[in-house]
Amino acid sequence: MRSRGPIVTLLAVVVLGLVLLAVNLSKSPTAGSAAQAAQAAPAGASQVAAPPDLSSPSAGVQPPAAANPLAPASPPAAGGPNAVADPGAAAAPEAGTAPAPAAAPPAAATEFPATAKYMGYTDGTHAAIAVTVRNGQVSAYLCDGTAIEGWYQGTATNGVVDAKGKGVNALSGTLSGRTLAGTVSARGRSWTYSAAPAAAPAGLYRAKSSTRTTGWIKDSSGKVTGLAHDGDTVTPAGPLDPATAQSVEGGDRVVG
Amino acid sequence: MTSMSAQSHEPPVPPDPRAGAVLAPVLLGCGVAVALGVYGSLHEPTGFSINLAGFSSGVYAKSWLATLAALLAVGQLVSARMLYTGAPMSWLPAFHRWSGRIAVLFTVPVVVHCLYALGFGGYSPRVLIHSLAGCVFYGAFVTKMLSLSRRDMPGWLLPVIGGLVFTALVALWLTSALWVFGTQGLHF
Repeated sequence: MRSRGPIVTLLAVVVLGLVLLAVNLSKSPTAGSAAQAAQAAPAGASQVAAPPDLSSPSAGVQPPAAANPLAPASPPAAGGPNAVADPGAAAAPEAGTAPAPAAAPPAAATEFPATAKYMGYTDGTHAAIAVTVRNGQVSAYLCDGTAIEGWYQGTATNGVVDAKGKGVNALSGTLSGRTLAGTVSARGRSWTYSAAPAAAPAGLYRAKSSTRTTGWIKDSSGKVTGLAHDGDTVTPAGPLDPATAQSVEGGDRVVG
Repeated sequence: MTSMSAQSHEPPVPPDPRAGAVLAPVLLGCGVAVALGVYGSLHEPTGFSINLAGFSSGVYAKSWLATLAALLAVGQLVSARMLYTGAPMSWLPAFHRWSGRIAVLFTVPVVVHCLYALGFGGYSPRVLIHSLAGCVFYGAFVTKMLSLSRRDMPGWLLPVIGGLVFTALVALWLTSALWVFGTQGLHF
């Protein structure tokens, strides 16, 4: 009896770990699209090409934009400024060199209103994203509430968002009807996202002290996702306090 | 001994059968530690994981689970010391075993979140120490469980491995929960 107890303990730990992992995998809302993206990904294009869990749905959480049917079609009729895969994202594996699926219809861009806020989530990882637009200027924030965040600043013209963050972080998007969809990158990875218009109290909030910057995204259902950073160190955000946090509007300085 | 050099190509026979007995659990533990680290490095962090009800955030759920595990680990240290010094309480072995089981089970949701949502990180000393300690903790735990299940182990093994498990867990707690409580405040 004495000699079997530790083995049982060990097995219990393994089983509990696997059960929790399985629950996580099943709750990952993207099993379908992620697997699709992983399938369509060019071999070796992704740094997760050979993890031990390649067969699991989570392996595809970094879908190359061109492989995801939700991404806006990149060859626009106008060409010119409408580069969906912006240069900042060129370091990311998807780059935009891979041709968009021929089946994807070209998205007709809709002009942005003078002021608007778009709240949404990335496909797969479910990081929150908030894109605020005012008079052609964009301020935006990506935040998964755990480890990944990024601030972006740029322009919104002819229905196309083109914004840059720190380093090679970049945000692009195309407004189609009322839905803004595109690609966002942070910490060397990129995700597709889609976002819908939202009104206060939903929005993007920010608090900045001398060393610490905190961002919160409040979505239309009232759910708040936030993170703070001090230099390159990301820390959990405190509660969103309307007294100290400022609502971010398009064009507000959020990068640098 | 140098006269035996001619036979040095023969497979060496373990001089002490117990050495081989020690080797298997230790090697398996090392394997587990390395495997966790490799998984944490290669697996693309999802940044997403299920949360536990009742806490303000996943970070706090993890912090409190880790704190409970660390408190139970202190109980482990004390009860192990009492076992070795021959304390007379009859319930002591059971207390040691069950508090240890509960402690390690408390750590499992934490490590699943760490590995699945965050991965192995080295972007700051705190994170690097935490990642390494996490791998060491589960490797040492596996070694301890496997060596406990055998009776032919040398007497020094259990205190050494137990001490390693305890040290790794305390390092984990210091670099995670204490840091959260210190930077974010002590609440649930």
